[in-house]
Amino acid sequence: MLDIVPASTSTSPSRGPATPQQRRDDGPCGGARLVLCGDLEIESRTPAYVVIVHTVTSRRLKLTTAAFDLAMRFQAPAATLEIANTSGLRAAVERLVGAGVLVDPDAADVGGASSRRLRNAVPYRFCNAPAWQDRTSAPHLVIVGIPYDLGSDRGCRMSPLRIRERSLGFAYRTDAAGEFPLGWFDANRGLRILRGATMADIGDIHVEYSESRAALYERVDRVLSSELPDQAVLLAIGGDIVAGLAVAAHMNARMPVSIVRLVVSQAASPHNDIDVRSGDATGDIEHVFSIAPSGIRRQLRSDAVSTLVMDADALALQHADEIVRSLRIESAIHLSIDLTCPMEGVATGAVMASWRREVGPLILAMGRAHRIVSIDLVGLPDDAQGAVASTVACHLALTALSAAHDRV
Amino acid sequence: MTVSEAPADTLFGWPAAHTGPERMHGLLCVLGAPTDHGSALARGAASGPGAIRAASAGLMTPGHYGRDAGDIVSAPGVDLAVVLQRLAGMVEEVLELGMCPLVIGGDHSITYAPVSVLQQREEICLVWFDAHTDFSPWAGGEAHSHKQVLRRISSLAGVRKILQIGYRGLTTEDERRLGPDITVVTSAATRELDEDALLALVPAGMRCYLSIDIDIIDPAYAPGTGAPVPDGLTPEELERVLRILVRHRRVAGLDLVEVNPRLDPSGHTASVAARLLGDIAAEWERQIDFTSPSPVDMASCTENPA
Repeated sequence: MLDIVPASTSTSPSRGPATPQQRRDDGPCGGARLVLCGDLEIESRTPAYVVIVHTVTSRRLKLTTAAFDLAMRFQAPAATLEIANTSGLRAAVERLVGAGVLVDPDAADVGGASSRRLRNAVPYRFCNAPAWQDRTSAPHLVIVGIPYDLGSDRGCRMSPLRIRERSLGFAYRTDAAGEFPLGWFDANRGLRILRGATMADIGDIHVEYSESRAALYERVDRVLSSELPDQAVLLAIGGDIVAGLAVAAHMNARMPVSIVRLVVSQAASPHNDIDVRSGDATGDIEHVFSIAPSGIRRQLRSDAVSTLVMDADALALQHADEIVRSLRIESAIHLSIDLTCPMEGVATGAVMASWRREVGPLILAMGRAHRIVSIDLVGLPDDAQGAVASTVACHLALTALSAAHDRV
Repeated sequence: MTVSEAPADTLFGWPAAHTGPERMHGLLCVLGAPTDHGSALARGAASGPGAIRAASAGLMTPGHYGRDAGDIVSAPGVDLAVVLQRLAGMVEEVLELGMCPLVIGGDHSITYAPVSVLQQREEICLVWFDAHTDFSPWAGGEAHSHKQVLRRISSLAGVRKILQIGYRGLTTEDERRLGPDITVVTSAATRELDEDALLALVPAGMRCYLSIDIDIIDPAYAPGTGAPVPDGLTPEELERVLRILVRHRRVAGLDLVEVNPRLDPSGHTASVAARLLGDIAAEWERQIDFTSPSPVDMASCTENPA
């Protein structure tokens, strides 16, 4: 018996439209050359079964020994017809291709070599949501980590790991059938959020720190092009502002977006504005707004900057909906939440906790007024001590996802 | 007193508690409970009693209404059930001396011990200051965590009324309705409570126990705790609520828990905790019944009033 079954017990998001990747995988491979995927590791084996893990996607598969032996015959690239000379074997090869065990050796995204690697599996998934294993599903919310931090002064490449680990305290739960997400209860607002919103974590985008920033943008674009369904809301966990800009650039290629940046500290703004103005990622983006504690800065394209200034008191007194209306945004929004903070140690968390209270209503108001298509959460310093900073980051992430999905 | 370890420094410099001839009726009696047993999140709350006592050294003594009995013996490897038993025994001794237990944690699981003792003597109202309801499912038996402790306490017959103050954040379920004798007031609602509305929630004819988890305070002010939640009360907002209760209700006992010095290298959280206790102690004279017929030498209570 040549059988393959998913070995994971994780809940899969509900079914939806096929993804671009799935559509690519649908074709027959009778005469095609195939090779064993280089990103597989054996987790365990018995005389009857072998459990393998795809280290890029976290997908675990349970293969019968016969299926595993068949796959091993493709350690060197070979034509299907050379190996599988019966219709039954060819069907088994089809299933191995569909499961990602066998791949096209001539494809650009075959995996197996670090220089071509697109994604990495992660030890914790955001809120323990399922890894995106079932490519026939289209989750409402997609999580990705981008641990790139060479665009900032302080390290923040550990943030995806830290935020995901902390998020395990906010577990993604479904009904008993594993189909309908129950969401969370927002005690502050007295309502349930993200009810029915399916979520999947696609792991981290692979970062080669020695390569160019353009190469990172290109990798982000390739991953999101293949993995992000059209209607899904993306949460990208950086990394620093560069990771966020790479995501914004991809989203802007899908549809016109305005970037709204919420920054913890103005200390983060001057440095980051250089990146924004450079236009390497956001040159065609219509509006970029930076909202800092001391006011609002409005930039119209990279070459047409106008500034709307509000002092801190005015910002505190004005209703969040009025502030959002005053921005006069007409496009969809990429919401960038920049946690870069000049403080160190536990003070980082203390500053973030105060700031979150100020921007929470703004985030929700933006969701009510506009379509938020993507969110980045960047700049959480690696040296922020204690549980507060990562806890605040989790609250901000779920609040922003609720703003984008629930819109209340 | 028995089973205790004498502290190097006492809370607010109060005298050590002892069984000598000095009369101590109505005074607060500090009991340290250096435990991590009930916390699944992080070790470190066991250092809370020492950190809060040290932080109190920088404050003015808030009246001479307290004694410090030290910490219960909680050697590594001792089971939580044993710790709770020892703490309950010390609370019994404190009550026999006519004093009011002020327990410093430790994690929140320890609150079960003083409340279980007090509710056997009289019906009480429990006021639970916490960002969480601590009402996770509990399977019974002798063990419980800090996430289950209020559910276990709610099963005690003498706990007639529970007021939970400070619930907030993102939770799995809506935890605002936990039972017919339990009232939950969120952080946001607490800010809107005036004095009359607050007192209406705490029966005047029943003594109350105040259990304060430091995570009720916003982590901007008290980051050193294992399960911080944004949007908490400011220290001043909590002080206002505590002051009203101490002035207008009879307090049978209190605790302050979940200060974790390992997550608080700046010491801010321990300082906030010490100030909260100082604020309570400064109001404590109102709790002492000077007309009590008990054989108490009142002069010892009033010779150095705040």
